[in-house]
Amino acid sequence: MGCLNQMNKNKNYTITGYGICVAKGGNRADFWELLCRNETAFSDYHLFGPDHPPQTVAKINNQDIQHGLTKRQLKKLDRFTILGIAATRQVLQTSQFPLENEELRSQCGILLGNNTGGWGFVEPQMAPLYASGMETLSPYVATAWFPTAVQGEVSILFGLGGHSKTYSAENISVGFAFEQALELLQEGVLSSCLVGGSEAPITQLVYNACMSSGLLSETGKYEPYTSQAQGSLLGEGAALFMLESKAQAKQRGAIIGATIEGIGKGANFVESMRNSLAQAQKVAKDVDYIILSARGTMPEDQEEYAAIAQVFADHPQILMSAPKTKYGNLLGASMAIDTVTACLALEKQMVPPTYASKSTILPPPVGQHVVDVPKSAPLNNILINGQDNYGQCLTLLISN
Amino acid sequence: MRMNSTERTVVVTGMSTINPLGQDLTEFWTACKKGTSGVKKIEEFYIPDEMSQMAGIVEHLDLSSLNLSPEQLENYDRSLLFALKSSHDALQHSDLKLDSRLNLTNSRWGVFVANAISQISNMEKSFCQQSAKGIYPLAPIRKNSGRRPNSYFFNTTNAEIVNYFNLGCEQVTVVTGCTGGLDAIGHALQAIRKGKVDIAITGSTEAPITPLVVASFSKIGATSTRNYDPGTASRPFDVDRDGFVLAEGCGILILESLEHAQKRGAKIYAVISGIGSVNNCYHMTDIPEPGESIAKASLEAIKDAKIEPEQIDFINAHGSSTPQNDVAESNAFHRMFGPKARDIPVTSIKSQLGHTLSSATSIEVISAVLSLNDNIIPPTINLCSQDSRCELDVVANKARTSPVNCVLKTSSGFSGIHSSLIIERWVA
Repeated sequence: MGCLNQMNKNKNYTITGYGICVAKGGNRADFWELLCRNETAFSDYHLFGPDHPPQTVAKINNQDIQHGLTKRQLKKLDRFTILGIAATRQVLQTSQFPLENEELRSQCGILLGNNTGGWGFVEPQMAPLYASGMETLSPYVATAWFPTAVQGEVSILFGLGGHSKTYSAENISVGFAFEQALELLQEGVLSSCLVGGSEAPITQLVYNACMSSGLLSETGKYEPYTSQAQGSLLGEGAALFMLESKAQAKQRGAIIGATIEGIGKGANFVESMRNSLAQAQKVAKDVDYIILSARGTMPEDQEEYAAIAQVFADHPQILMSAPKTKYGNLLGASMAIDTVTACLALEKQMVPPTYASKSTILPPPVGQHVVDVPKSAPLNNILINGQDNYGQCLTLLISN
Repeated sequence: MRMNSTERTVVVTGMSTINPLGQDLTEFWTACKKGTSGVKKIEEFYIPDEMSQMAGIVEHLDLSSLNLSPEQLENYDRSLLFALKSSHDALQHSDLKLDSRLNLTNSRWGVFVANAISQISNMEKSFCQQSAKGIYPLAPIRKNSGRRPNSYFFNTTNAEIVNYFNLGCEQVTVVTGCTGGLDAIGHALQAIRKGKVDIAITGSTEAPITPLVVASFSKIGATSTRNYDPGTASRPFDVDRDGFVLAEGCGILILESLEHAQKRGAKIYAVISGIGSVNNCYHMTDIPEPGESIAKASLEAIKDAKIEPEQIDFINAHGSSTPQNDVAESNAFHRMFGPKARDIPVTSIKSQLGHTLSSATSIEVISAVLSLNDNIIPPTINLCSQDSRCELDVVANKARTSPVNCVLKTSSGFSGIHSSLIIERWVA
């Protein structure tokens, strides 16, 4: 956990810009509007064609994806890369990262989370491959499919040459990306880092794999923290951030944004939340709001509630919500979207609600679950909880 | 080596591999030193003549030591089976007995096993089952109807390793393509250095010999079409090389902090002392010929290891046998070492195994550790006429006895990543 006498070095690094592209939230303003209004981004989509019942997913309208790519470029890329590039353009614009500065570019890394790669590019080619032969396969499969495709294409498009990696750990992938980014910045390996996640998992085979493994709700509803909770609904999207030292940000006149002060991991949420607080050198009462993991099964939801009750026993004012009930489970990009939510919540001093009716949400053992309408509140420190399918928990602490 | 640093020294205390040359360390190393080829014609499915029809194949996989149920044997992807067997053997090699792990309750574990293409064998099987090999359109399936782990998630293999050994520990999958094994080892190195974990199971695993993967690499001209003589197709640094040969395999290492290893009296095989990685920002598949990015990654690894370039006495190269890579690597080594680049022994065991994608680097790290312990450098086979643009001391066709104390391991992959590792002899 680290010695409390040592300063928390994470405080020296800040988010200077960020971008997002999810269903009905193709940019920050639209995303915040989605979080605050009383509707979701889900719709019924005939993923398997008109002869089968539709699936309830949160699919992005193509017109909302401001990727800036040519038709020629689009032919070679999977959707998850296109979404990642769209979000990256917003980051570079909002952070005003000086792309003309070769030194800064060469020391800017790209650390991303993703869990399903570009399978959407490959899947339509499987039937011809098996039915007609290997000659039918597109020559772009090899580069479109790898999870590292986003990092590769972004590095080439914008000339970012620093240490870069992609991590898979389901809904906590981006937590690992943030952790590595902060360490590499602190060691001086990088002077800035593009961090985030991108996921386009709405394909027939990925959907079937998620459904057969029990991850998804069959009811067409995403109702975590209710007695009807039966799993999540898939969404797609990307969110990225520029992370750099406050000193560098000030020097180049960038806006100093939120900081990621604590990253905690554990075998359960009690451990991960406490480890996050410890790294941030904060206590439970410092936390104003928790963005919930929202796995959407009764046992997991109750386990998270119980962990919050344990860690925040002396903090009945704690607020919590699950905004992902509006835009879905984005798997490897999940924590990136949650971090955008946290950044916006800190800017607006408002807690976005869980999409549910107040009568169905099970009350947490401690604190208040914000439901249906946003709640104004003084916000300085926000926790983000995430979990993989195997019980590993990770908590981020984002501060103003 | 980090003698006076506050960061912990990280050592190798166990390892194992399954690859086309063998299913345990001894079998592998014996064959490797002899210069054996594990490349054969792919018989399992039809491949058009204009495509690469061969691969490095693991034959007669022996999983008897694992006590897997028939259901697990049927449902686990081949790459996961490789990883479980190699992890099991590596733990035995490290003398870490998990049933007595109560003695290690104060130890913190991490599992960081990479892959490049997830559980592709099972992914293709599931497609074929659901669509009758592409004849019928796919249909939705019911919730909880699956018996297999989710093959479409890139972290499933890593997580199933954690599950199988009941570790309940920190785990994340590095998914960076062909540099994945090295990057996973680098991740483990940093985690142990910083005190986040004490021991790590790390490395990488692949079972890519499937119609989709064979076709995808063939379509971009990356793989050799020397189909008439598979055993000679992978020929790094040879003037007649025409691409890499796909292969399957797994390499797993047990890394520990030095203190942890010494406390339990573990045998130490090597020190992992430095990692470096960059993007070339150039192209998704092409490598810039001057080799600047490869050199940069390697120099970062050397700096991270706190050694001097002159200390490198063996380069275990990426040596993929593509026309581009081998020249770029040669140029990189000349950038780094100047005229002395001609004197440092270089080898690529991809000449023998083929290219096992992300697991190539972990298998090659294992071979580098074995070289450190034996002072033997395995040969680059099929080197009949060395490319004049690769002015290197390639250990050609026959193993060489040579003092090995400090190894540079290089790697390159799609998306423009170059990663390098420094492995040093352990001196007590």
